[in-house]
Amino acid sequence: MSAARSRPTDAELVLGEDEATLLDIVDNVLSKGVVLTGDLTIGLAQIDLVYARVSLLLCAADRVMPGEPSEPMERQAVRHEVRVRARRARGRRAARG
Amino acid sequence: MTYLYCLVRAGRKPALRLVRDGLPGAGPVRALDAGGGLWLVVADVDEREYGEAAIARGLGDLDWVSRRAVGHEAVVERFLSAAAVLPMQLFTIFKTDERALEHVRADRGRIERILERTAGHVEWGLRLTWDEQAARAAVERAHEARSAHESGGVAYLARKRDMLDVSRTKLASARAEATRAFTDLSRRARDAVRRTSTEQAAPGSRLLLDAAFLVPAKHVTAFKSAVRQAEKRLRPEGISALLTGPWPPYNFIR
Repeated sequence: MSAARSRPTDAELVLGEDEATLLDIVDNVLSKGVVLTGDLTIGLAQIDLVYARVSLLLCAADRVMPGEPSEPMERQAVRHEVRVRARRARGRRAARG
Repeated sequence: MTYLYCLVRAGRKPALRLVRDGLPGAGPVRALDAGGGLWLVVADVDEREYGEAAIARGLGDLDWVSRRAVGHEAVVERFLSAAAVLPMQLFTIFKTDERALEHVRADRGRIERILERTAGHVEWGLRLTWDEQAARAAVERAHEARSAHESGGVAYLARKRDMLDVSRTKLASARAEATRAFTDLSRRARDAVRRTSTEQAAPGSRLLLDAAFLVPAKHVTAFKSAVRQAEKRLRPEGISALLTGPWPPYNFIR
């Protein structure tokens, strides 16, 4: 087994269980709630963009493919913010799980 | 402006004393009576913070969105024990309370149908992933146990072959196992959905299952123990399970 193999992939570092749960929250509230057309119209294209980013993080490609081309800066930023949010979400969910 | 978190079905006005979470910068959570045991859970938000321009700016920043998503979800979750709760999409905003009530009134038929289907149920999410390293470790262990009574050369080749096998065929069999688990668990749920779009996002994806189950609140314990059983069966195959919940019925609003 090569050293590269035994090292956790970048994706594994990005997404732990808590992070996945946090992304679930973002994914759910953005794309699955009841849609009532409010008075405020938010560009659907923009929501789609955020949703696409979250899906990308949730999906297998990002979770697992080693050596997959990525934008390191953005990845780092997302990893950080997701961890921060996850810490808060973790307590609530763990208590119930 | 009036921010709408969710709709709640309850015989009387839902208790709001303990609801302290919410969107950053939003006012205290309030309940509006839509009649017929339906309540709108709302809060006041400021145009500067939640106007069209502010949201458009914020959407470019995943951290900004995450904070609001978590705040929104936290409020919705407070009502999981109500007869039924329907989460609204993030950033559902009206000019006034009256406008929010009007919109709900106009859509009442559809809302009642969704309420009917999801009342007394909660959602659980299950994600199964294949852990190649665990599968390899299992092969290693099996060979270590055997190597005592096998000659060095034969054992080496057998180990080599099984390691190749891990990458090639074990993933396929892991997928089949995941599908079986999904079918089994679906029987214990009122409804189940499999999100194949995330599962198949990449060739060779190790995400085997991304599913949501609509589980009767009174059968949650049985459902969770069924998941634990499945997990026990799947672990030797190198499959790990992540169960999340209870969630409002996000994946069953249609």
